[in-house]
Amino acid sequence: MIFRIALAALFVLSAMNARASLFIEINRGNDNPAPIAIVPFGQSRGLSENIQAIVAADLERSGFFNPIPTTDMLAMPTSRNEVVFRDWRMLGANFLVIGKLVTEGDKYVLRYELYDVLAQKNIHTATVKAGVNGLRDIAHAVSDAVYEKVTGIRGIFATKMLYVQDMRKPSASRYRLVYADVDGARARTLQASSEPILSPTWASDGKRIAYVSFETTRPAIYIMELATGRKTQMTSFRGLNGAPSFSPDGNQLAMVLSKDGSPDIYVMNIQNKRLQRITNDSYIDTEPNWSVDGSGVIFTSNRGGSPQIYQVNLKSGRPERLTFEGDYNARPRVSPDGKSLVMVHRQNGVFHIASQDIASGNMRILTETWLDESPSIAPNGAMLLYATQHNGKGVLGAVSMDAGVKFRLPSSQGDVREPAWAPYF
Amino acid sequence: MIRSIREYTLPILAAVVLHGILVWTVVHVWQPAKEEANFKRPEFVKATLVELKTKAPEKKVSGSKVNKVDLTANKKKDASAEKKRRQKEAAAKKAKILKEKKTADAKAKAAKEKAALKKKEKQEKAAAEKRAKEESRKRQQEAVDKALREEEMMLAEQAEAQTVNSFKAIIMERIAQKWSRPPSARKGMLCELVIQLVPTGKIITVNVVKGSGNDAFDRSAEQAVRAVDQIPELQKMDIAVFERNFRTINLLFNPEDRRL
Repeated sequence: MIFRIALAALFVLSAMNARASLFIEINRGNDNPAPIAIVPFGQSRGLSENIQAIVAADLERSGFFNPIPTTDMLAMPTSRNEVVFRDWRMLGANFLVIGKLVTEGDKYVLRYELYDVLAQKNIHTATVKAGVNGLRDIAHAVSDAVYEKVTGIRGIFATKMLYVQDMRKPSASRYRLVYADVDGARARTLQASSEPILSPTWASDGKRIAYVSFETTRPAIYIMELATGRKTQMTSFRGLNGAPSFSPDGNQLAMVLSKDGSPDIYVMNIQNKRLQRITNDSYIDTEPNWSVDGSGVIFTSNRGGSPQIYQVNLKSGRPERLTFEGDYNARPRVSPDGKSLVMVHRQNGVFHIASQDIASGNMRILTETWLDESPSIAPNGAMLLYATQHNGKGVLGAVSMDAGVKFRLPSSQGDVREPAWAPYF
Repeated sequence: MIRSIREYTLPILAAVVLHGILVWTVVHVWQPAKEEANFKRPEFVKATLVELKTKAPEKKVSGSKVNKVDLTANKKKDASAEKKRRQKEAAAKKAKILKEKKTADAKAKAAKEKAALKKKEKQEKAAAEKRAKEESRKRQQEAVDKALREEEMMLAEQAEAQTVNSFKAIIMERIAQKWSRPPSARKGMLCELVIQLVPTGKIITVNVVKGSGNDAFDRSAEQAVRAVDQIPELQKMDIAVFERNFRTINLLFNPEDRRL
């Protein structure tokens, strides 16, 4: 017994002794972008794409990296034994990416490595393989891996998006539904029409999309299978047929129909096209979006006198108002973690994109431009795409969810609007 | 002839014995008495010595011894003996006078000594009192000194604590400046590092003691420390203070300022 007490006393003493060393708490930081050196990859010259430049651009646009210009580099190592960490440290780089491209038949294989310059430690080594047309895929794969290792968040550079392009000139292909990389490259027209195309959206498996087309002179909702291009018309009701949204399980489609009077929210079973009416009132209820668990639908309604965002539980049918800030909140989208909403928010007569924490109700305005609309959140929840105006033209903008980074995607011909960020495939 | 010799045997024997006694006394008894008298004078000069007090009775003994020899000398009617006797008497007289003088002196000396002793006692008493006083004063002084020392130590400790705190603030500031958190960092994440420094302020080792579970977050903490690399201000610090406090430091990274 005494022995035990003595032992306990000794333990306490030694613990106190261990605690005796100086203790400093670092309770703030600056969150500057991480300086990173992406060295041009070995044997990658003369290719149709500059892989190094694509990686650098991806990482820079994320807002969390500050790539060091290649012109500042003292050496261009392509393997570990050529790396002098002191040089990279002097350049101010915290991270270093090096690698070498080799060909295997008609395929390109990039073997790359990521280093922590300050700790002089390898963090990640991997190989990516792609065909001749896949050099951008190789670059985005590198960006995604580096981004994930350094930020702790899954990358989104290899993901896709949809948007609508209006050439502003009457023609058979004035309105286009475009599929592109999230950096705007490799745009491909999925559907062209002389009549408007609206509200493109993704199924959560990334294999199907839905959109509204006026090609039959009446608005109608279509579902398209991306792999085959086969499209299925889902609705052709009188009045409004709009704002489709796939349920998380991909079996249902929420939409707005005005066939019974004022616009109301309906949910359609995709298999049998059976409709379930969710709202039934004389107000405008529109822009439905599913909650993350699929138990409810979030939508915009003017039932309170001004457009505000409500959530309705599909079982009970009881709507609940979510937004109270300002006199205009519309076009809600739920973040992938289900914790926040993004929406169009009007402040002093100007439309901005804002995010709101659902639990606390705290709202933050993320954009500063005019006529910002159609926010669409990235599958990692760290960024969103939105449509805005620049030089009298509709363009796409991107902003990080903490509003730290904003950039415009390269503009193309005509107006670009209604971006829809694809889920992870 | 032989008979006549036999007839005088006894007187001759007596004379021989007497002479022998005389010669023995002259050789063995008188000389030391003279010498003693001669030796006394110089000894007398040193009367102030306290030790003399014990020697005085010894002289008395030697005096009585002289008297005794005197008696035996009287028995012999020898001229030289007579002379010696007279000499001896004179010496005895002298010795007596000396003795008297000595006793007087001794008395005076005793008195003096007594007085001296008294004085000494008094002095000693005074000294003791003084000593006691001094001791209490000393004790008081010591207590004051001790208090002062303790206060000084406390002040030194306080000064050290102050120094430590100011350097802690410098280190905290330097690292916070370099700490760039990844976007996955969230309030409530904690990462504890232990770092080791050398007196130049150079950080020589960085180790994660307790991670947050988020590698990117833990790496950001480690990188902040490595980016600081050295805190040259530590060179200005007293080496003992450095050794006591800054050789090993635990750092807790707590992103309290983050919105999320």
